[in-house]
Amino acid sequence: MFSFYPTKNQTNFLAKWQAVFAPAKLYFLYLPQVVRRQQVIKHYHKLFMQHHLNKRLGIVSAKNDVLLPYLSVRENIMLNRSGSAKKKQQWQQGSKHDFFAKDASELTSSERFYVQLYRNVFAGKDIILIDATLDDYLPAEMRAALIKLNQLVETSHITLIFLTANQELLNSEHEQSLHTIPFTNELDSKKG
Amino acid sequence: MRVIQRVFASLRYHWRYSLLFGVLATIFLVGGLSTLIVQALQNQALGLFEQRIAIIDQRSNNATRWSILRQLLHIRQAIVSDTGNIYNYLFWGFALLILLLSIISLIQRKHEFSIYQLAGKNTADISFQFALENLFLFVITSFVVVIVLLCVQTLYLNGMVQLNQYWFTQSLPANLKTLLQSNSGQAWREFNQLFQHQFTTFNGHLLLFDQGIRSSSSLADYDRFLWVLLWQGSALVFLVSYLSASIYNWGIGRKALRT
Repeated sequence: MFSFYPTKNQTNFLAKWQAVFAPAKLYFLYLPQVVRRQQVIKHYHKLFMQHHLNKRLGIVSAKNDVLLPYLSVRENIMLNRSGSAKKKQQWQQGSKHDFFAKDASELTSSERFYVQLYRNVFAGKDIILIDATLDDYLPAEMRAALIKLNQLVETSHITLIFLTANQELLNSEHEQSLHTIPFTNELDSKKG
Repeated sequence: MRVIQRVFASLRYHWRYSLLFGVLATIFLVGGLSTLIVQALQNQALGLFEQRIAIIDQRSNNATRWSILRQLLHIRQAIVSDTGNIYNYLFWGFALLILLLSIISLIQRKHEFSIYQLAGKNTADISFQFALENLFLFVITSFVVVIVLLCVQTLYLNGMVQLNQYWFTQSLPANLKTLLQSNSGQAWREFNQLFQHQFTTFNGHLLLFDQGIRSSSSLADYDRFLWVLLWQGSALVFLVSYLSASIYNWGIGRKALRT
C-alpha cells in the first residue's frame, strides 16, 4: 500500500533490527523486573510505530485478561485475520490443542500464552515480543515448549523475543540470550 | 462475516447497554414518526384550507380581508413549523443521548478495546465494529417498532388524528374556539357572507375547521417517514458511534505508548 513514509528509513531500521534479531529465530532477553519488561515492550512498540512498521510487531502480554470473554478461544485467536492465507492454513492444520473448545475464562497461563501467540501468527506478525516470567514451567514442559516454538519460528518465519526473568533458561539457551537490551539507548538515557 | 459474529456476540454480552440503546431508539423512532405524521396531517389540512380559500376567492379576491382566515392560516402554518422544530429537537436530542451513551460504553469497555489493540486491530477496525454494533441495534429496534406499530396501526393512527385535532383546537384563539363550538350565531352569520353568490361543496365550518381526513389510513401511507427515520437515524448512529470510538481508541493507543 502507498505510504508517505520513506521506505528507505523502514529498510534501514529493519536491517539494523534484523542484524540483532535475525528472522526465524528465538531470542531471550534477561529482564528480571516486571516494570522494566513493560517499559522495553512499550519502547519497541514506539520504535516500530515511528517507522510505520507496527503492523509487523506482535505483543504477547503476561496479563490474565487478554481474551474477549464473549468469544470462544478459536474466535479469540482469529480476532485479526490480516495474516497471509498460507500461514492461516498452516496454523489450522498444524495446531491442535484441547483448549480450543474451552471458555476464554477457563484457560491456564500457558494456554493463554499459546492463544496470544497464535493470534499474532494468524494476524501476520513476524516479530513477536513475549512478556513472560516462565517460572511456572517444569524443565520437561519447558523443553517441549521450546521444541514446539523452534518449529513454529522456522515454519512461520517469525522472530520470537522472550523478555524473561528465568535465569536458568537464559543459561541453557545462551546462544540466543541477551543480557544487554538492544535499541534501548534512548530509554536508558531518559531514565538516567 | 466474522465481524458480524463478533458484533452479535458483543451485543449479547453487553445486553444492558443494548437494552438501554433500544429504549432510546424506540423513543426517537416513535416520537419522530408521530411528529412527522402530525405534520403530514396538518399539512394536508393546510393544503385543503388554501385550496378552498382559492375557490371562494377566485372572483371576489377579498378573502384575505377576513382576519379569521388569516388567523387560521397562521395557526396551521405554525403547527406545521412547530412539528418540524420538534422533529429537529428529537433528532439532535437523540444524537446527544447516543453520544453520551457511547462515551459511557466506551469508558466501560476500555479494557476490551485494549485487547483488540493488543491483537493488532487498528483504530479504524475497532471503531467500525463499535459503530456496526450500534447500527445493528438501531436497525433491529426499527424493525421491532415497525412490526409493533403495524399490529396496532388503527389505534395508533387514530391517536395521531386526535392529537392533531387537540393541538389545532388548543392553538385556536378564543373567538375561533367559540366559532368551533357553535354552529350558528352572529359570528357565523357575518362569516357566511363570504359564501354569498357562491356555490361550493363546503360550508363555513368545513372551511375553517376541517382537517381533511376522510378515510382511515394505514401505516403504509406513511412509509416515506419510516424510511426517512431509518436512514437519518442509521447515519446519525453510525457517525456518532464511529467518531466517538475513533477518538477514544486513538487516545487509548497514545496512552498505552506513554512510558
